Amino acid sequence: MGDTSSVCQLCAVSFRIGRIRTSNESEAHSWDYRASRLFEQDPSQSLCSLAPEDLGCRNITMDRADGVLQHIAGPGCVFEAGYSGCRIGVEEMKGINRARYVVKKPERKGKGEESSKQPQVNDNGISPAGPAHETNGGDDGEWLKDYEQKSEWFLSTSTVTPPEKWQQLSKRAKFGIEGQDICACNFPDYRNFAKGQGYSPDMAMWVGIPVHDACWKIFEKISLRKIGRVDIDGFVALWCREACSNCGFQNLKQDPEIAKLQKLWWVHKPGTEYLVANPVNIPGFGIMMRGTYKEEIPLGDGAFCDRNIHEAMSSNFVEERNRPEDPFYNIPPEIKNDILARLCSKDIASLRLASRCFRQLPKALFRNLIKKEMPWFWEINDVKIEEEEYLSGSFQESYGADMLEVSDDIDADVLAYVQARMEKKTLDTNWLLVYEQLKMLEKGVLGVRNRARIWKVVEEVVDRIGDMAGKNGFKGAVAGVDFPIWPGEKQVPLRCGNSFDQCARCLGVLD
Amino acid sequence: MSETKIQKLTLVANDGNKIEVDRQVAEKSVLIKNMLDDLGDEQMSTEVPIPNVNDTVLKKVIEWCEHHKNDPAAPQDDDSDSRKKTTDIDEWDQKFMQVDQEMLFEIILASNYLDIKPLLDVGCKTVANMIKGKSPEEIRKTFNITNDFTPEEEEQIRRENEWAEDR
Repeated sequence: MGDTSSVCQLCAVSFRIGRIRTSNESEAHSWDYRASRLFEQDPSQSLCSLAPEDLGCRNITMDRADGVLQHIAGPGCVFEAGYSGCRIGVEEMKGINRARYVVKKPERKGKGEESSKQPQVNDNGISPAGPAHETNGGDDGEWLKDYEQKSEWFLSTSTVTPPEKWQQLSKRAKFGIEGQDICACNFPDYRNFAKGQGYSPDMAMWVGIPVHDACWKIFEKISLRKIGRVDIDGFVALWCREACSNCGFQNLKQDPEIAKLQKLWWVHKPGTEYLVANPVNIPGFGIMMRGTYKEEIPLGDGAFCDRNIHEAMSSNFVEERNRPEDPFYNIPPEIKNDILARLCSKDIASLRLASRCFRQLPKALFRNLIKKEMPWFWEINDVKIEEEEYLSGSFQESYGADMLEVSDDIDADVLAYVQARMEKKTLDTNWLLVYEQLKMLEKGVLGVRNRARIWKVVEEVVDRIGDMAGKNGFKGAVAGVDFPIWPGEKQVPLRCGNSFDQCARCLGVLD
Repeated sequence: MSETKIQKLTLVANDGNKIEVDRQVAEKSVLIKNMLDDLGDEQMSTEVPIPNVNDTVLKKVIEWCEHHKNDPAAPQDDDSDSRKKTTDIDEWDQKFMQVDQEMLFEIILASNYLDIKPLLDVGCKTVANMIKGKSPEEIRKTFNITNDFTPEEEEQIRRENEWAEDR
């Protein structure tokens, strides 16, 4: 079980986030940093308790607990023991305290022999990799993902900490190692881990690298995209070389707010709710995006409308006043698009203000910009398919087989549109609108904002894994090549020595 | 067949100037290569007219082809994945592209016409690099574009540009 100082090694946020319910929510929607409904912190001293009439908060006594007050958040709640239910929905926070640990598999001596929790380690401290591990066909096989089967390491099943009651958690622990057998480890010198072992006899516990369930899912996606596999070995190897202390990897340029909030317990400061919104399961995200896919105005491949006629400026849009001396005047559209594809959105905006030749831009350009600038929108195709399915279904229901009968009464354009939808033809999405909506949601929806934040740091972690592999020729056991995950005593990084709220290195300041 | 295989080609620029090049060099142009493949060596005249390109530009393009004649043929990448498009240019190409602006765009058009994809890439990268990080005024200055937007037009474009604004 994680101690209070353990933080996600990817996103640097604690696993001990509390929440204060509103008067409309049930008791189960309040919990403190220990996941207890009986708050350890006394709410009566909170500023909002002192001026309840202004801020709408109140403290109530709970039936089961003598004298323990429960705080009910009003719109102005500032009680720092939990995030106010007025500012973040309970669904948005679902699963955010779910820690998983990257743990070394127990060694098994041979088939049929009962596994002992004591791992076998050779003289130089490196466990021999190879077929000694229980792999395919083992008891745990069905629980393990492909990359876990190939590695010496695996992801523990989620720990059971309320408010995880929503989730049906598997009762079975992989390799018989359960949450309470694991000690969250923020640094690789922790007792026996320093020798590359996964088990500490001193503590009689397994040491595990803590990550959020959601952050690991993001790691899986990015690692697959960039490295072509989920490089769990690379992750452990990098962590053994570049861990810092209580704050993940060195110099990761985490959100500077985080260091200010990591005190003895997490300071639930108003305005920082985005840090604890589930970045993977964002309630309503797909629906919020779907509407922008169906827009078909303007028709054609241009993204912008002519404001006078409300129709698309054609892609070859050349105004009368376009000047032949503009060097882009003679450049064919496909070459202009090639140039545009190499620019960021800000450059493109400047270019539009500089030359008339870029007044109109193709819709497809914005799809590429989304992929380049908001790669965390992994639902980009799924949402489109959903919308196409939905439109098809709803038109089938409205018209269905009667289409031919009513076709005389309907405008030809509308008819063609309806028919195309019923046939599930691909939507002529104006990706500019999708791009704009995504930017909007990144600002206004906590989970989306958090996803963009975490994507950026995890992308950096994956890039570092790639660099490390490039420099050292490491391929990782997942790729079928053995390499020293444990770098040896000398290469273990120095602990930053700061308490977790003061680590300059984690803020990207120190080298 | 093999004894008649053409080793040298004469390219004729639109101003009538003739330039003799090795077949290997000329074949950097997919247009010329396809022409040779389609017609076969017997049918092929060794003089190839290049009606869209003038002598100076053609010489410049051939210079590039000479230098890159031993490059491995670029893999047929699908253009759809343009997010992978970069702006890194190797050193020789950077120097090669240090030409006046008119020439730069002529090279781009010629490489497009002659279908020399890697040269077109270098050209587009060069132009992209000239745009990167610049304000609209700086871009106009770089490319000698006259600012003839009316204030209303400019306002309209700024409004259309809101998607690119920083948060």
